[in-house]
Amino acid sequence: MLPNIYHTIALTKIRRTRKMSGHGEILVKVGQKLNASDKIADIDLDNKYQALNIKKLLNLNSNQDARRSIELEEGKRLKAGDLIAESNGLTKKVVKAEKDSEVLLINGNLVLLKINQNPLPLYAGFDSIVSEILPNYGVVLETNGSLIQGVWSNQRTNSGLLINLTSQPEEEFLPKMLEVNHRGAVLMGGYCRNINVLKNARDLPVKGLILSGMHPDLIPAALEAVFPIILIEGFSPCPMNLRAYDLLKSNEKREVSISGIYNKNENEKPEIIVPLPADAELPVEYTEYKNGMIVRVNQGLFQGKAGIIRKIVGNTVTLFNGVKTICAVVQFNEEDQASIPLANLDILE
Amino acid sequence: MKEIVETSTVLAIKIDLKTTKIFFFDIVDEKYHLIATSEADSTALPPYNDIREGISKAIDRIQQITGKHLVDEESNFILPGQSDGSGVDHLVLTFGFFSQIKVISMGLLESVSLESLTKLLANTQLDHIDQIGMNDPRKLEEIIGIFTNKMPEMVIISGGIDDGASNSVFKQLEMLLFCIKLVPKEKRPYIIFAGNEDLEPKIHETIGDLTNYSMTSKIRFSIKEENLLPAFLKVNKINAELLNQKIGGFAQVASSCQSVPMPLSQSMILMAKFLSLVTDDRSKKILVIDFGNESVTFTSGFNGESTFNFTDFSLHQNFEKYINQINLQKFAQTTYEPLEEEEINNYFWQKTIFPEAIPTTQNHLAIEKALVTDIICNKLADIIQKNPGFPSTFDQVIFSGDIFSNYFSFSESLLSIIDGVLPTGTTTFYMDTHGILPVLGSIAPINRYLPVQILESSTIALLAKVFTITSPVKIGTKLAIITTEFEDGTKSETIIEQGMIYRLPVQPGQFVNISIEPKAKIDSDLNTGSRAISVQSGICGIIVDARGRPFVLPKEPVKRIEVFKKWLFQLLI
Repeated sequence: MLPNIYHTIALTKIRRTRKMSGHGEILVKVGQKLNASDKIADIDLDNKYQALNIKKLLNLNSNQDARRSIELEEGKRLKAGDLIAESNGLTKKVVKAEKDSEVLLINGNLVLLKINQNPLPLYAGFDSIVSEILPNYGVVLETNGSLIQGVWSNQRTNSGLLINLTSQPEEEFLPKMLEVNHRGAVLMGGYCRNINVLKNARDLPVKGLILSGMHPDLIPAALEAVFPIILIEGFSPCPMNLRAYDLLKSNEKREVSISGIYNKNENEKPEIIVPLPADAELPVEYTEYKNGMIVRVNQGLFQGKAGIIRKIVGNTVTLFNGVKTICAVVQFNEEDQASIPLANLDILE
Repeated sequence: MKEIVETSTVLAIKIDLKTTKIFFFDIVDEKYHLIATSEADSTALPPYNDIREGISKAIDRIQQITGKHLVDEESNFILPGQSDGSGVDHLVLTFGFFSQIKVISMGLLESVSLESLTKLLANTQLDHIDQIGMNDPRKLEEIIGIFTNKMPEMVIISGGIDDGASNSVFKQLEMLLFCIKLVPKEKRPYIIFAGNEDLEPKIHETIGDLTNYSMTSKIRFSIKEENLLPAFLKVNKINAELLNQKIGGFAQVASSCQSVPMPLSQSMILMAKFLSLVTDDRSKKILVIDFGNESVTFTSGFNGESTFNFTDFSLHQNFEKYINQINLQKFAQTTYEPLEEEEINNYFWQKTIFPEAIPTTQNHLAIEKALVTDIICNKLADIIQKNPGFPSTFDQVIFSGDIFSNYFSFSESLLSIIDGVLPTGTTTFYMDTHGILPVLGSIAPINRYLPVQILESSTIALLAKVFTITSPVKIGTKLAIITTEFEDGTKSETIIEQGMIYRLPVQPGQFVNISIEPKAKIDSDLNTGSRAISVQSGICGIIVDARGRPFVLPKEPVKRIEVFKKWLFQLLI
């Protein structure tokens, strides 16, 4: 089976393609240095149109009269109030543009306008350099640094100084942990079940939250938050895996980016990026599980624990609940190991 | 027949966004047999974006199992079979890729052509994103926005009825062309015109080189008569063609096939129709439920007619779309283990992140079982309510899905399905262990013997015949005594009480005569006076379900769980 990979690496090259969903204008150049919150493109929103029946609007008798009254050409950009058509005679009538728009089509007595709208910004998502421009498609960004991929995010992005609020991974994130001096920081905490954590974080405000997990009831509030929230383990009260916890902790007081805009159907993941001034190689995108790999368990009794694959059992194993599946023996520490279904393992390398 | 049978080996590929399955059929003792199956993850999505990688892995396994070379050194299929035993004679492809192609339907009147179009597209696996009628209340600019923003890949226009108003149809066509002119040429939708073929020259002239189009027979002959089949086949053919551009490697695999790749919806409909015609009694109603990795599908078959429905989620994809439809409090009362709502909620949402994760605890397995029942129960009720043509009771239920093969025992699978379908009267349950039914449907057009011979084998297993007894009496009241008479003349009696389910003591495959002696007011197909009924036992035996409809359950969780465990215990093989 194809493995789940959630890179949790101290130093790696990070290369990401930021794609424009639809038409848009790219605003950056190759070699340009970017901050996480820099805009790299303007994306056109859903198009809106206005169809104007000039004959009807000017109360004319024929299509020819209507066509003659139209005083512009296809492709012309209009400001609100610009003249579109005008009738002759004593009772002169005019048709003006209601909004900023573009003349898309003139067909007989019909003028079709495309209404200009505020474009949707596409952000860099992490401190990086533009390495390639893909015309009409997107931008390739690169940096070197630590990479910790999460499992869920609220589709927001930002960067700030990382502050760790936990003394151990098991510690729950409580509202009282948030203090005034956390304003403008990216906060790292454990499992969050209290909505006041999100409210207090909004009020400070913070630049982002990195959580081991979050109660599902908080999803609507998290989706409304203006700052990024990223989950490392998911929606159950298990502690952050030690590999991610230690790596994040070692980056405390550094500037980190939460790049929370992702599409799971495109195999994209939300991620935390800590740019570092060192060269590195791209991470390996594994296509199968192998002995010696560092993995974490995403389901069941050992959920959230990281360990090393010691053996992949070739045959189908029947678990004690009767489920038949292929398993790997995972060693969590010197004394502790367990047989875990391969489907429940995520590669962390 | 002998000539064809002797020379034809068949390799069938069933593929969707999640899974690639390969089935290899060959002749043994003058009959087709399923020789081997294999499975690999689908590689349709990133990072591969090409289905051939997954197919190649699954083929490797088939080659290892059979020892046959099916592909050459350049990974091309060896077609037809060679004298050295390598290759296969026929390659067929059936595919999922639900909702990957967006379609807009256009017609004149709501209660005529638009109704037929809705019915037609409901039986496909396309994403029917909008419908535009002659009297559409939306402004032209809104309709333009539908085409330029949603970018449908296909538009089907119903060309009205015989002697109907062709002028109105052409007005609609002109409006469509006006809209799609604003879409970049390479993204313009394919137009299917289902109407009078005499209009073809005028349509050709009107559409010109704006976009691709094709004609098919009209779907309405008159206000009352409709024939959806030609348009259905055309839509499915174009669906496959459009996937050539959308799914990496699809075109290359399709070009090796002897027939046009068939969508799962079409192959399911074909098989459900066929099965409804081969029963001794054509009034029998068939239900096929497939818990696919991409969607859960429900196909009915009745007297040669069939209706197909699919969900926009599965246990492995877009599951979040279903979570909000679940009443957690009610759900928690249906699990066979004592579970808190919080644990269930956490499991559901974790499943949205890790849909492929396997339940490793009894609690998680209990949630999965309850989910299967919940989905069937809710979706079936929904389908029956929305589709007047979909039967509400069933005589045969065939179900398939990896969840049954890999997670549940036969008894657990059967109970989950019974609890979801809540059958009445007499119902026979079959399990399609390999999910082979749609594959047989896709083979049928090129080889009509293979599907029949495979259906005659044990590939689709008879699980149980279930007799439902209902009665207004209290739980625990004696309802009847059932006598089971074996072939050697020995008899066995089973006392049936209200609120319980029973497995009669019969070995799988055995034929017995059963008769009933009512002890209370009951409603049952077994209640035929003194006459005994001859019944064949399935893997899970012969089941008598006297639990009532709906179930009456204790309010106390501990007692309720006890009841559930008793029910399951009764069915354990």
